[in-house]
Amino acid sequence: MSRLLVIEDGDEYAEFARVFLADLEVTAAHSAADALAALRAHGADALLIDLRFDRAPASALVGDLDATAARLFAGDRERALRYLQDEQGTLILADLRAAGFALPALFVHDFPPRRLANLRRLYGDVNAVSSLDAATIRRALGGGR
Amino acid sequence: MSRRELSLLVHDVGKYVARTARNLPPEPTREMIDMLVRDLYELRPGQRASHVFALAAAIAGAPALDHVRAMFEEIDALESEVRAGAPAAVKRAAAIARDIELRLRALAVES
Repeated sequence: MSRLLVIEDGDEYAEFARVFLADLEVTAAHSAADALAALRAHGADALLIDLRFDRAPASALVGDLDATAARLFAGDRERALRYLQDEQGTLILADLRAAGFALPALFVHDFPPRRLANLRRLYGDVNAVSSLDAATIRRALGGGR
Repeated sequence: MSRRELSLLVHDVGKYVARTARNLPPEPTREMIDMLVRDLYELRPGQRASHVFALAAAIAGAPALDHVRAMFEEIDALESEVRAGAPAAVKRAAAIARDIELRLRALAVES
C-alpha cells in the first residue's frame, strides 16, 4: 500500500496523511467526480474517506436532492440535504464501486457493528477506525479486513 | 441529545481537535505544532475549537458536556504558549485534546 486517495470536503485528512503517513503518496479529492478523475488518471491502492460533507456545495454532492426529499422525507428538502451531507462518504463510495473501483476503503468513524457489516455487504472491502490515529490507520490500511 | 447531534459533536469537534494531538512525537516538528495550533485555535475559519464546540453543544443541549467546556477553557488559556511552541504547553494541550475526543466518543457510545 503506497498510494492513498483521500476524499473529504476540507483538507484536514489530507494534511494529516501528508504529515503523519509521510511514506505514502497522498492524493486528495473533494467530490465523487474528483475522486473518479483521480483514480482514472493516477490510480490508488486505498481510499481514506470522510463520512460527512457539510462544507461542500449541494451541487457537488452525490445524490439528487429533490428525489431524495420525495423518496425519504416527504418532500422536506432541508432534511434531505442533511441526509446527503451526513452520508456523502458512503454515497461517493457507492459511485466509485459502480464505476468498477474495488480498492479498499477506510472511514474514520465509529460505525455500529451492524452498520459496518452492511457497508461491507454493499461495498466489499470497507473498514473503519474511530480516530485520526496514524498507527491505527496504517494497520487498517495494511491489514485489510 | 439525539444520536445525530452527538455524532456531529464527535465528528466536528472530537475527531479534529485530536487530529494532531493523537500523533505528536515526543519532539514535534514546527509543522506539527502549526497543525496542532490549527486544530485547537483555528478549527473552522475564524473559529477556535472551543467556539465550534460551544455552538454544537448549545444545539445538543447537554449539561453533561460542562466538563468538556472546562477542558477547552484550559486549552484556550494555553494558546500563546502553544503558538510559541513551548514544549510543556504543547504537551499539556495535546493531552487535553486527546481526553476531549475520548470523552465525546464515550458520550456518543453511551447515548
